Amino acid sequence: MSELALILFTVLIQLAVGALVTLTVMELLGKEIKLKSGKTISLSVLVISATSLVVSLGHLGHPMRAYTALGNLGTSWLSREILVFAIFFLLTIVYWMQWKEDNLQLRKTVGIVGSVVGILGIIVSGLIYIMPAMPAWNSLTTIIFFLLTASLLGPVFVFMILKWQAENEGASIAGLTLVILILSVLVSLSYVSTIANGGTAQALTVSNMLMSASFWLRIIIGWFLPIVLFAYYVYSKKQMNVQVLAIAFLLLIVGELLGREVFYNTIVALQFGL
Amino acid sequence: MAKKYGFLVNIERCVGCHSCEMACKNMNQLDPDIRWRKVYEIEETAYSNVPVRIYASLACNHCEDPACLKACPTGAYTKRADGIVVHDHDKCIGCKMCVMACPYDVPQYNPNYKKVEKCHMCHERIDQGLDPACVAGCPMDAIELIDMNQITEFGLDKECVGFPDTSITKPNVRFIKPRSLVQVRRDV
Repeated sequence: MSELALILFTVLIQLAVGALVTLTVMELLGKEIKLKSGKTISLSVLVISATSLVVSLGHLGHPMRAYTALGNLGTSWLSREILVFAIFFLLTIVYWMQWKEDNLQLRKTVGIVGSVVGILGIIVSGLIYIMPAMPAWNSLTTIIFFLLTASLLGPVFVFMILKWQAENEGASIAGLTLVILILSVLVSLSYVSTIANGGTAQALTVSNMLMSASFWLRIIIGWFLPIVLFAYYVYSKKQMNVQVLAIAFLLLIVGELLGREVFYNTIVALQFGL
Repeated sequence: MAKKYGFLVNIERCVGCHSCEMACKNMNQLDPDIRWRKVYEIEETAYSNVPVRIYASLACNHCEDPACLKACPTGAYTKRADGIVVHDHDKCIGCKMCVMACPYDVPQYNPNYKKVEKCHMCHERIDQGLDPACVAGCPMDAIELIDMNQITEFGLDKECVGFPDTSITKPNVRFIKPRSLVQVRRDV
């Protein structure tokens, strides 16, 4: 599987941003979160961000000289992405330290700043791929895909840890996730039907997608099974226990990884003859 | 007025012999799988209703608005005052952003060096008053080095059949298209 480093990096950093935003929003909404859970979640956000940044180096031919990639902030979206996510990573450290020291006011502020920087990072990430030479990526849908990944994975991850810490009884994430899942399906459907009717490079991208095993596996693992699972819990009004949440999270993250594999490996570039 | 170099590709003259590719590989000592200049085959009936073999020899177009230069995070690309877009091998970290950004599939990733490379118009030769290797090596005189500030656009095309949208990066390349032939059937 080519571009493995980019697949892992983008999905993991989007998970980290989604989790940080979820925790911050919960606290801002006045939800009381136990110190132990908060520490666990903020530490996982830190570790996931660090891991994703290290993994991203695997994409480079010369990883040891990655720091020089900050050299063209004037025009290169990749330079800008690295800067924004480096700041995001530093903020996740500060955020975790505020949980350790139980500084409620400051950690809310750091949480808000971290969330804004994280979301900005995801948008900048998307802007890297919005280029006329890659017709199937050349639209705002690329950014929407990245934001959808963050909003699918982040909340379920946070709720899974909260349930694991025997917290957050009564609250449910099933409804929200179900809505985002359906949105994800609709955006993807409209995307595929739009580019199928676009230029030759776009149409070839669609035919690559339809012939890719990951595309079909993603439909089953990332959409169909989680939709059935979440719909059951919404309909039955039952609480999802930690095991069910863990299975849901696993299905979602595998689905998103498969989806990202499709994103990177089915693209057809503009070239002579197309 | 300062010079602004570009390539003139004479499709009418090109016979698809690939000598330009070989001259380039020889001059720049390229690895077996790497070609800075490529000869593309164009659909036989693209210019006339009689099937004719047509070729276009293309390398870097040293664009007015180079997408590679903008996308490169390390600033490895520079555009010289004479328009030549040069890639600095030492600065490259092999992120392949330029490979993605170029609409003409020009920068090529070399897995041996783990870096990207591309045509630099043999600027060392140009600085000595010589033609680039591809121009010098073409037996049909089908490629020319031109000064975009001196040419009259009369008789020249900005694109040829199959050439990607020129509005993206404004490539400094011009084409002379092949004559269109008409088949006349005479009943005996």
